[in-house]
Order: sequence, then structure tokens, then C-alpha cells
Amino acid sequence: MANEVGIAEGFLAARLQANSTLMSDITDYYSGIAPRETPGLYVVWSYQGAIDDEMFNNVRIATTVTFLVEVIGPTTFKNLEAAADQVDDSLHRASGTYNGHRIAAVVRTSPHATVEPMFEQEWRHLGGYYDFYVVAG
Amino acid sequence: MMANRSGITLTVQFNHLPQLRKEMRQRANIGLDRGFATIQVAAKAGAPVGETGGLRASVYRVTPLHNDYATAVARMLRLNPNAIPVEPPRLDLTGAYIGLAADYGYWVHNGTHRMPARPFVMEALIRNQDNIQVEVIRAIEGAARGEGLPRGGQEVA
Repeated sequence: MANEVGIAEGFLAARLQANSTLMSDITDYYSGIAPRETPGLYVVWSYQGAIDDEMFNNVRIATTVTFLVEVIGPTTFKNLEAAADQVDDSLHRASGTYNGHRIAAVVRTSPHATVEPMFEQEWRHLGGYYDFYVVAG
Repeated sequence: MMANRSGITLTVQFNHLPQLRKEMRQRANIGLDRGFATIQVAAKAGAPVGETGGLRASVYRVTPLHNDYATAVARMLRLNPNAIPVEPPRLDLTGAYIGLAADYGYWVHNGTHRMPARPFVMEALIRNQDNIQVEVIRAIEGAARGEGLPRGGQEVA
């Protein structure tokens, strides 16, 4: 198996899609970047890196894939909180399968917040770093 | 030395504990520096080069044994005179840090609502995090093997 990143990403998207409260709070969710002029709030995730967990003789047990998942919008952190909470409810401690591959656990390792100063308005990002444990199969 | 019926058995034990006690902190710092040097190399390799290469040049590391912040700033400004140096963090004696001296580094790394993230430092850290532990253990275990102090991490251009 060599597509752990894609599996983790597919699982991430499926978990967000399944949360109807979140989907009613945001415009949509995107991998990497939202199309220009997308009105906030929306969710964007970006791949941060991955590392294999191996035992003796290089037998691969699992792969840890890390994504930064953020709710983004031209508003206050307070107004981003509800959607960011829903993202966390959907992802943190989640587990399951995606296309037949098992995701043993999803864990948020740290929260993340950024103020993006623009000339016309400030955009804020609220979310966290999530580790996806994709079991080798 | 022990005597038994078949003869004499001579057991020689090397005890490097006094050496280890004396060099423990220094060996841990050397391991830490070597581990972070690996991450710095990987971060530079993954850095987007753009028009000037200033961002790649601005990747620096601060460890108890090494600080190339000033060198990174000088290289960055030579390549991109418009870049503004960001102050390095204040670290305690056991801290280590990989940073970007360029003011725009944070936004290139983490992205904006108009620009995708390019998290090359984070990726280098995730992929090489085990090296830190490996290098610290190796440096400390060297004392048990009677080895002298290893060299610190390499100078990264």
C-alpha cells in the first residue's frame, strides 16, 4: 500500500461531510486551498507530513499522516469557534474504514490559530493538527 | 579475579560511568544538535526557492551548541534584500529550534486564504523526528563504548 495520504484525506473529507451541523455552518471544505472569492466560513486542510511505524525487518504496521485542518473566514475567532468545534468533534478520536482501509485513530496533537492581516479585512484561521493512523494492509 | 577447580578466570570490567556522568549533558546536546542538523538539511531541501532563494537561505537552527541565525539572515539578505529578518526565539539551555528568518516565511509555510500552505519545515520535522532520539542515544551510548565526544551537527549552507 502506498497511498496512505490519500486514504487519510478521503477519511477526513468523509468525516466532515457526515457532520450535518458543520456542513450547515460552512460554505464547503477544500484540500489545500479554496477557490478564489469563496465566501467564508470554509474548511481547508493541508498535508503536513507522514511517517511510517515499522517493527523488526521493516514490517510496516501503520503510517501516521498529519494534516492541519482549519476553519477560515473574514471574521472573529468567536465566530469561527462553532465550526472549529464541529471539525474537532468529527475528527478527534475518530476511527473507521475508508475504501476498505482501516484508520485506527485520529488524534489532534495541537490546536492552531492565526490572524491573517489583509488591507481590507482580517482573515482568521482556527483549527488544529490532526494525526491519522492508517493501518498497513 | 576468581579461582575455581579448572583454573583461574580473569574478568575485566570497564566502568565508564564516571566519564558518562561528566559528559552526559554535553553528549545529549551533541545528539540534539546532530538530530536538528538533519532536520535543517531536510527543511532546506524542501523549501520553495521562488525567484531569489532567500527563504531557503533563511532556514536556521538554534541548539545549545549551534546558532546560525546571523549567518542565515546575512545569506537571506544577500539573496533578497527586501526580506525583513524575524527575531529568533529565546530558548533555555536545553531547547532547540528550527526557524525561518524571513518575515514572509510563516505565510509561505502555513498558507493564507489565497495561497496554499507549503509546510516544508513541519514535513522535515515529522519525517526526521526519530533522528533526534537516535542521535541523543547514540551520543550517550558512545560513552559506554569508551568513545570520545562525537562531533556536533554539520554546518548547513
